[in-house]
Amino acid sequence: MASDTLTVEVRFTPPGGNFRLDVAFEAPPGITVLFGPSGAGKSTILASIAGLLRPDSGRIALGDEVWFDAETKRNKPIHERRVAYVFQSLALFPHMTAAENAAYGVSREHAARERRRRAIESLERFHVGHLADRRPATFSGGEAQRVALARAFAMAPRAVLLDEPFSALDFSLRHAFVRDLRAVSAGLSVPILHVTHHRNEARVVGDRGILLEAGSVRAVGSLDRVLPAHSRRGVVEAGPEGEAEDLSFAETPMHPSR
Amino acid sequence: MDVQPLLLSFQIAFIATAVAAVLGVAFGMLLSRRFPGRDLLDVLITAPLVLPPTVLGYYVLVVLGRKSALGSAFEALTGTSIVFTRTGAVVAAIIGALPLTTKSARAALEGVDQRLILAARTLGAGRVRAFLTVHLPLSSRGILAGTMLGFARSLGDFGVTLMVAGDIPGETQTASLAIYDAIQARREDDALFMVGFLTLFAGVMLYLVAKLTGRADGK
Repeated sequence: MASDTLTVEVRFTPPGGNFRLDVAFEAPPGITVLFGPSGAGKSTILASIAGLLRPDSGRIALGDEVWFDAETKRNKPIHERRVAYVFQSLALFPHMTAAENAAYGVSREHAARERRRRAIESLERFHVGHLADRRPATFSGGEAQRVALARAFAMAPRAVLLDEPFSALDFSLRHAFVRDLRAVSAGLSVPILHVTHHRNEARVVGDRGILLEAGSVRAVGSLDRVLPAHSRRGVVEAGPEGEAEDLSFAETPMHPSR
Repeated sequence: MDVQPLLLSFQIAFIATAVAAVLGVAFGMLLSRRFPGRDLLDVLITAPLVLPPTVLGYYVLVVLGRKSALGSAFEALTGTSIVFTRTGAVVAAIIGALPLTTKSARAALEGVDQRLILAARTLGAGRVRAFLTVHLPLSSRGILAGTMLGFARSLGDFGVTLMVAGDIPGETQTASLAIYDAIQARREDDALFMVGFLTLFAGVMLYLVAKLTGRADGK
């Protein structure tokens, strides 16, 4: 179960949207980078996998467990998928401490003491153990980011979705984050989808990449292969080193399903 | 000094507010979703704010009177009628408080970032747990403010109470009704005492509500 591959096949036309999403790919255990400009459909894909949004058609499965299948009308409820989703906005619960946030996703089969122990352990792995009894309002941007990651990994997820997890960080801070993220995910053999539109981040964070553009998969493979192909086609103009790499596209709004 | 009407008012208002608070959250949740007839339900719940109390009272008598289906069913079950009893006074107070509790609850519930609720769901919480541990706590300030307004409102109902519950001393004669009677009977001191008390109480409630909602905005 721990080494299941995530199979995604999603077709979706957002209401009033200007593109049609039509993608099919696999994400084996480990980090897969979903790279592409804003509006390429990255957030929509994550929302479909988490169950926040119901695709028009397609199929989503982890190993042989089907989460969504348009043909059999199967749609596993969000909370039964155990997918850790780190939102771009982080979505930390403001009325809970860092430890309570991190413990929220820990299975309730464990006693409260054990849930807290796991929460603190996860916070420590992301170097924010000292924040355990403080609330999000007092966190810096970087601290909030780390607590959000700790919360996601504390739940013992079966898949992890990271939506621009470092978007709020200074470029200089990102390297330390990427290192910690890689270290933690190495010990957890589940598919991790990491969405970004920063090329440098994409290069260092993962090994495999999927290039998305206007709702379709343009390239799949090792990041060395996927990313240069991307710039050669001139999809995103590669300017002077560093500068254009960090070019921020407009944020994609989330369309939660009701 | 007869404090009985005041005590009765508080007793009725407590029960009515508890009911109106729970109903307010339920209707607030319902109204924050899209469904056919939503606007109609909104109008029905808001109507008590603008309808003449006598008109409201008339409708309540039609719907809950001794000859109505609901009224006779209630009487068969409990042995007492709804109208012209304390139950009727509670119903009247609920109707007054409900628009206030519902509107505050709806605004508070809708004000919570949807992504926080979705985050709770992805973390393994079912709808009920996500509601109880994230949605409700994050809207509690607005819900509490609406409940306090509802309490202040139900404490002072006059028109609907008179129509539906009558003015029976010791049974349905609340402070508002007792003030009217005292003035009619030229018992100025009795009236002044109750007027002063209710004014003071409403003032304190409004002050607390302002503090409660002001701090949420100011942050």
